[in-house]
Amino acid sequence: MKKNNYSRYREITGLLAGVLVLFIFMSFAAEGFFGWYNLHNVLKDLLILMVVASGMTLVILLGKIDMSAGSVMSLASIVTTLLLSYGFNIVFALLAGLLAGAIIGFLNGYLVGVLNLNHFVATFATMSIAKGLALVACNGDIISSDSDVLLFIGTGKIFGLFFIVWFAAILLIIMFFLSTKTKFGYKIYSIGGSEQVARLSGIKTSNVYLLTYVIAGVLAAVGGIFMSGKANSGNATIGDGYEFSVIATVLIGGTPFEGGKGGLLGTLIGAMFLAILKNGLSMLGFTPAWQYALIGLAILIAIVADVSINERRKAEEKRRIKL
Amino acid sequence: MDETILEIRNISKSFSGVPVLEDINMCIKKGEVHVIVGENGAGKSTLMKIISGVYKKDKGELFFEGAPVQINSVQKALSVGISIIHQEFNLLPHRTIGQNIFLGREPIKSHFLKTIDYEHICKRSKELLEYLGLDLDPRTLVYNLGIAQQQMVEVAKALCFESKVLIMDEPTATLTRKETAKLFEIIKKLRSEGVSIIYISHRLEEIKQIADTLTVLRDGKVVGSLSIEDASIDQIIRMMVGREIKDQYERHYHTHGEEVLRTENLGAKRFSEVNINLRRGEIVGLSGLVGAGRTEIAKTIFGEDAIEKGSVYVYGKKYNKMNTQRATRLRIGLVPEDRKEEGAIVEMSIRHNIIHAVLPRLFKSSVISKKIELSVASKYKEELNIKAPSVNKLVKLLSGGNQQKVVIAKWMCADCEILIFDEPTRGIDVGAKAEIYAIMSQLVGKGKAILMISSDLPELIGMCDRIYTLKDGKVTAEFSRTEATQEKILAACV
Repeated sequence: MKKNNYSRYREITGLLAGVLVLFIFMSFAAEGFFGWYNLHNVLKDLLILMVVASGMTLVILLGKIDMSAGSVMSLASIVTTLLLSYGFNIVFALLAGLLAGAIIGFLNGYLVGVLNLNHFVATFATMSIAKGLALVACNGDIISSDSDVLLFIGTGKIFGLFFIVWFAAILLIIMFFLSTKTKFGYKIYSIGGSEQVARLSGIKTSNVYLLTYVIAGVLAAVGGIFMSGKANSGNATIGDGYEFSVIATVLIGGTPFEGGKGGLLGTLIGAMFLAILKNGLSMLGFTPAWQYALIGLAILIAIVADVSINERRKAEEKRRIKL
Repeated sequence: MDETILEIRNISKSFSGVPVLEDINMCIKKGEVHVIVGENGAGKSTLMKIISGVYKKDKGELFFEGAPVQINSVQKALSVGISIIHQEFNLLPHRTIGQNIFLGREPIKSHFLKTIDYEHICKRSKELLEYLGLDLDPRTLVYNLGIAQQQMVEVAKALCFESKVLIMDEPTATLTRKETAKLFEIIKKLRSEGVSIIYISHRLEEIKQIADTLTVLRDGKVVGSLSIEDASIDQIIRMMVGREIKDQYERHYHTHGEEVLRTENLGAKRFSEVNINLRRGEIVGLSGLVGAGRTEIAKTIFGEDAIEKGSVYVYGKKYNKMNTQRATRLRIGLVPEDRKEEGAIVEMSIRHNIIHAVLPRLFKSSVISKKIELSVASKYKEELNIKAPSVNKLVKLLSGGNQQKVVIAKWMCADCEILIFDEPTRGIDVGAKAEIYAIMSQLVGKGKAILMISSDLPELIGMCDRIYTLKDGKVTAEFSRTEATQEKILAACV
């Protein structure tokens, strides 16, 4: 549901211009940035980020958050590789990884949408639960996989493009469709706009919360499996801190925490921005430590922009005091 | 006793072009209890908020002890000596009584370390509480106090500021009879010590007990001030109403169809044993003062609040439980009092707001067709004459009247048979009001049924076929269109 709204259009073009400037800058400044090999890898990383961020976008559109995304990635990674190491079928192992994401997502949705717990606290707790379960299951070890299929998922190519690129593209088209063209997407925007009004319009809000968090959980699991495929191994720390990149992506993409506004298109551009920044910085010779700090700065700028837009909106509303 | 402490001269105030107060003149004398009465929306609360620095006045002057004062903030009002106790208390629940009383001006023990002298706070608070006849430890958390005790903490806070004028906005609304008697004792005590009290109330019976002077407000104007010895309840009611019922209510009366809604001994938060019914082609009004339970009844029928006792019959079928999904499936729609918080999603487009309640009925599959969405939304925009360049416009950019039409369009689009209108014309300009009345008339003309809540008596009498009056959560009377007069209704409400 894009509002044919001039300011949103301007926001998107503004973001896109920023990405373009960053891209051109990195192309000239960072040696080795502009080249098919590197850009193809940037594309892969940005699409993994985007898959997880598209689930997060729906959650943030509801005016909520999912702190457990990174831990769910780790859990899915461990569940899949562990089952493979026990000799289970690859399809079964992959489905089990996705199921793990769905279960944590369902738990999140239940805590937030049915029990009405604070979304931050609830998903903060499940973040620790998922991470803990992953660590317990693998005993803290890295689990190597000898599955060709998993390796193909992470590194294989079809028609010259990574499998991940094809897969993520299809997934994202489905997500775009889901969020803009379906009743479900419509309800997300209604609840994010005003939960009170949505409920008083007869929308069953708890179901929307449940489904949204399950989708976010499954997509985080997909991200975790992609990451495992890249290394062809499972690791309980694979998603550590990833939720911060994901939330940053959504915020930079212009979907504010208050909910009901923004959408996946912005998140896609936000993902481009972060992926190019991260890769370019390492090409420029910044250590990962510096990358952390600079990405933090980008998040800060996004949040400050989010807050200042909100403040301006509130100031505007204050001027028209309601009777 | 005859010394004037606060004089209000020619005060006017309007909100977004709608005048709320016009040329208010009033005198508050030292050591008197000055009661202000008026219907809902007469401007009492706005006037009090201007005196206490919450709102800025548009025009006029205030004189305190004979000298002009500029009250432009709550702090300023307090420093002059004017305190207000709002209906909603301003207390921090998880701090102690003492901390609340001294909030923001805690005494300092050591000027070097800026440590707070909590001993002094407790000692002084204890004195104030004792003065008010309360045996409470100032170290108690406010959270643990009852409503009446919390109110006393507010009074203590005002005393601690050495306020000369104390404004109380409906202080007895949530008190029991015993607590009320105690409050009156304290008010009399304060009065004897020269504190002036401005007292806002709906309860005419208690005014006789407490007031020295009485001022009646109506439609933002002072109708008159009089000494309490000269006033009778009948006279006060006549002063409160008085407005003529004009011909703006376009109603064609129809023969009524079958009954679509009935409540049987319905009870929940703030009301009990409510028996009302509603038939097709009929507008039924609920009248009552703020807090009488009107909105609560509406929200309970619509399933937003839980039914505690009794049941609701919809199309003759009995329901002991209701929720908003069931209500909308039964084609009940609620146009709520607070249209910005509960009626429309103001940050979203007109289009989204009109169709989001009817998704299941409008689209068979789970995919939304933009074409149908646009045509449906545009159809209602035309039909209800929503003034906006396109249906993509955000609702927050519309005027109050057009926002209300969007909310009505939502329920018309959902093909509701039973519509509940809660204060449908509040804060709406005259032209849009007439349009809303016309829409309501059309709806009942098509055989829909409307339950209407309004504080505007002429509007209620002009629009309704029948009117129920409520007081303290109970139905007190039922009037037909021919019987209803403003005096009769108000007398049944107070």
